[in-house]
Amino acid sequence: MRSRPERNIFTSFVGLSVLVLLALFSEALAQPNLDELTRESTFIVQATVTRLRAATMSVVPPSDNTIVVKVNQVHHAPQSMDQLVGRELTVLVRDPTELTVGDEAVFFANGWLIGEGVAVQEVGRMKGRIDSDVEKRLASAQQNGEDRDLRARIASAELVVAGTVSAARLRSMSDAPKGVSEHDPQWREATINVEAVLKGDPSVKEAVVLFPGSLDIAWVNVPKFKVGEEGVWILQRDTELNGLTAPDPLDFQPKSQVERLRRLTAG
Amino acid sequence: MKHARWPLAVLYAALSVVAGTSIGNAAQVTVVNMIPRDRSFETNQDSEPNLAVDPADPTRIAGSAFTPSLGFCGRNLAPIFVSGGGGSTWALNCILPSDTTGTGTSDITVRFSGTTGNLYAGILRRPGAFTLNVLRSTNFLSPTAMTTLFSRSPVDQPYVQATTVGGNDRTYIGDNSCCPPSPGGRTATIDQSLNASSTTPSFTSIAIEARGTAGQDGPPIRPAVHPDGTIYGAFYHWTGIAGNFSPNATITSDVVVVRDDTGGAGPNPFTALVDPGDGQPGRRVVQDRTVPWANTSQPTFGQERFVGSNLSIAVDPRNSATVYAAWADRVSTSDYTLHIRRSIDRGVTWSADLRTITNATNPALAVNNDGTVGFLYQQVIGAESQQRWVTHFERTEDGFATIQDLVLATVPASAPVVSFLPYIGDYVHLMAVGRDFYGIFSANNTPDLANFPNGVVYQRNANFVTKTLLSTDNVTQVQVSIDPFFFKVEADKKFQYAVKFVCGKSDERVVARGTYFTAINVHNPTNQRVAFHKKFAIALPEEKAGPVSRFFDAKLGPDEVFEIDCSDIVRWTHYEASFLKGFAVIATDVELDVVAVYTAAGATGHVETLGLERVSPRR
Repeated sequence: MRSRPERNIFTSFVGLSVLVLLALFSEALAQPNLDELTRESTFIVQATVTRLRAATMSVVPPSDNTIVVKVNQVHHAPQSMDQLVGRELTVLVRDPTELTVGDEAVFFANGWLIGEGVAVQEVGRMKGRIDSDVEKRLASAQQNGEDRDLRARIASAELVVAGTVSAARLRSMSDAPKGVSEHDPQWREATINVEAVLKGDPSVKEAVVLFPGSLDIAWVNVPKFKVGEEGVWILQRDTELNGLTAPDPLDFQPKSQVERLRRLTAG
Repeated sequence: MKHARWPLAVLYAALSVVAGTSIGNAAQVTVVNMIPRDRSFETNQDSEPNLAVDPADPTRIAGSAFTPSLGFCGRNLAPIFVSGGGGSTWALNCILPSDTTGTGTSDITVRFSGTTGNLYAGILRRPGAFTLNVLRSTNFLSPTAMTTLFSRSPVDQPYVQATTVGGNDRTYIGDNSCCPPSPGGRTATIDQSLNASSTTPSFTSIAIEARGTAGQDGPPIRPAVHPDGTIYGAFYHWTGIAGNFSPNATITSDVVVVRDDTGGAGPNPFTALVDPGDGQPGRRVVQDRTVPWANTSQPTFGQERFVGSNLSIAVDPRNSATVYAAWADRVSTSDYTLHIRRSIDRGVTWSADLRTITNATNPALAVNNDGTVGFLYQQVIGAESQQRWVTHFERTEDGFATIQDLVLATVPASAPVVSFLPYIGDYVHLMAVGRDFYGIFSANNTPDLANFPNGVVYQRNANFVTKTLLSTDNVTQVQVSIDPFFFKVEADKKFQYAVKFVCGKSDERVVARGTYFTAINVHNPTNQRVAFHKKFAIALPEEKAGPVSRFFDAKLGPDEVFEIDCSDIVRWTHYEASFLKGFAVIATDVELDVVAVYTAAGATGHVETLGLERVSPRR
């Protein structure tokens, strides 16, 4: 049994520990989950609130939740929209109660409207500015998000291989699904000379991937392959087609990514 | 008088670019490139467009095309085009369910209901090719993603129509249950909901093909809705196939029209029209037609493909017995010919061809409240290397005996090079609201006024002198691409009010020194929402005519009133002068109360005169 002084020291230690844990926990609560925010946002900008209950587009009626901000710094913005610095955006905020004109914050948002102006829908917000520390955390979060998407594709894959396309040809019609549509994929098959197996049967020397040869809109985003093409294939089993496919743009990666994919496959 | 801020020549030129033209009895034509200014950088192939105008408020318009997010929308979302201003300005709104990369959808069509303001869409949901989603938005301008009401596969080319009956929306989606085909190859289908605006609507898939087929029906299944409960459906009934579709074939086909007289609510829907030849439901309008299938870009057909997807049907809103159908087939050896026929006895008998157009695609028909028929199509003209896509909009009041033809666009067909198929679309859309026609088509977007004989408005940055597109910085040149174009052809309005305005400080040269004010009050005395137009003509001294603005859309709800003041006139005309005179012109199909209030202040700044004038309409 502990003596009174020991008990006092013990009690004080436990109390202090609880306080520290509580402080850390509340700190954690105050810190937005950057991985999630970054993954869910197409805009990450540091901006100053210039107007409350306002909008920059005539199609957006001003409300309690619409504010106008002036962009000071862009961490991430959609393709060809990197010239946002100095521009005003309409932001549909989740909670306007703590915002005042002049506040500066990092806004995580998704595009809402693009017209004679831009309006975005807030996903989350972080007080302060994008300093070098925040920049690093955002970059790391962005990388984590991309890795997570790739991991998901790898997890559902039957085979992940690096190699080179040695042949590509039309798949015989007897294997194709019946029925006629302008969206007919016109399946083709590419033979991959396997140089490394990252997931799946390590003895595989050759793999066949089915891909749509059609120019139709339904398949515009699906990777298509030609002889001599090098890369890493994340191959999914298609039971209807009875073959391996790479239907997602993530399913075909440049060869330079092989070590990253090996790490993600292992992890 | 203080000089205008812009030189008059520049102002006239600017107004002529945006104003469009008048035809016939002052009918107004407006053509708008829908790509928004802040998307000026884009070079996407925005093909296969569709359009929805809210019949309850025609200033609310939605449009669709193969338009990707380009990283703008959130995950799993893509945009549609939206306008709250009658189609004169457009934005993209991220409310369309898509795949993780937001590449958009495969086929998509959009339609507003009759009176509830709900927007419906039928899409082929990505990823994959043949999953039908029926979507609904209760506020198409809001950021809330459209709700998926119904999902089914395998389905091709959903084409949605909608109406409202007794406060509840009804949707009719014509689609092809192909790939693989439904049993018996009877693939022509209408997926209908008679309670589409309810929280959990129910849908029924109705096979409208009664006959055996050569494996399946053609991709386009088109419904047409009449307010009296009559619903028509049209489809290609395939009777023979030569070739293996890899990628070419030649199809033998009938064009069949079905009808339902109870809005699809009866026990045997879409069987009301029986063919006298075989006693089967579905009247064969024509039989044994040759339809080419070539699912690759055709250099002799303006880079577009042939996939037999060219069908349209429209019913006269004044009389559901009158119905028009248009389709495409091959008459000779290498042509692609559009045909139009009409029935005036609810589809029982059909006319001979009322109109044929050679080497054309994308027929779209609509009938307005006057019974005028509108016909939109896109025709290839010229030799292969010099081919042009010419988009026509024809109107006829006498069953195509006489036609008013408007060329909306005549653009090079060889540029840009096709990036996917369809190049301009397997369909376009035309509809009528009241007496006005609204439509959409996709075309090469070179900013050249010679390509748009009836005028055009570009929202995206463009230089019409150098004929170049410019990016959002208004400096960097952007390559030519395929854009969607909205157009509106408005009938001459029944009433026109010309209201004199006098605004600003006079220096005594033309009227007494003082400050003049005009307030034009407009009241809607009806119990209906009224959409109308206003424009402004500026009068200059010394018998000189000033610039005339284009018509701007306006609307008033039942018993609502608004006021047009001097500051509004300056804003609409962009004509800044210290003293301004002229006429405001209000054009409407419904008689309104228009009262002008004139006040003037003298040296004291206080009002010294006040006058009221009730303006009578010119009919």
